[in-house]
Amino acid sequence: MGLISDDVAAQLKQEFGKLVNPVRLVVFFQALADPESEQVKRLVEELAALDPKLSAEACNFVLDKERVDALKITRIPAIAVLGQDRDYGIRLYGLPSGYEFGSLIDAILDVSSGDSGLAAETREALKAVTQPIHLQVFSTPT
Amino acid sequence: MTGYPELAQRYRISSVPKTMVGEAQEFVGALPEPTLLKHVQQAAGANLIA
Repeated sequence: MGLISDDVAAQLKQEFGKLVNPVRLVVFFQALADPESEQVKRLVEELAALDPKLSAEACNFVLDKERVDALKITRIPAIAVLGQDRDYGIRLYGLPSGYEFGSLIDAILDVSSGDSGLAAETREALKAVTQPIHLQVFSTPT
Repeated sequence: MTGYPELAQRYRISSVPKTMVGEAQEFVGALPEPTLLKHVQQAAGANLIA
């Protein structure tokens, strides 16, 4: 029995028809210390199986230190949503359930298109921001 | 937020969705894009001073 029901899988397959470029989902887990992270790993693997443009890579938070450092992962469960050749810095922490599942799907579509959806004026103004700014959105699973 | 109590405490999260822009700029709920941009610009300015 999968985490993603047949109905939801069918909807997602349709949604993933909008994918432009490949997206890599790197999930960080540690089954013993954090059973929830094992569930996130399964979820990401099931998601990636829905479309050939998606791929999943599972990394152990303790053993795969190189990946943890390279992607600046600070806690688990974590999902890094990466473009083919580009990391936009998108990380999702915790179990993406309820509304947050939609946020994960949106992140995948945004990364795939390479388009943030921001207005032209906003993009222009952001050119003046030269140092990295860390944006963190906190939510509660619904 | 309940999964990461140390972050909830550090950023004084009492209602969600709460967004932190850098370490000092914060807001709850959704904002129009120009207002969000202002937060980012202020965070960038604060970093320059620091």
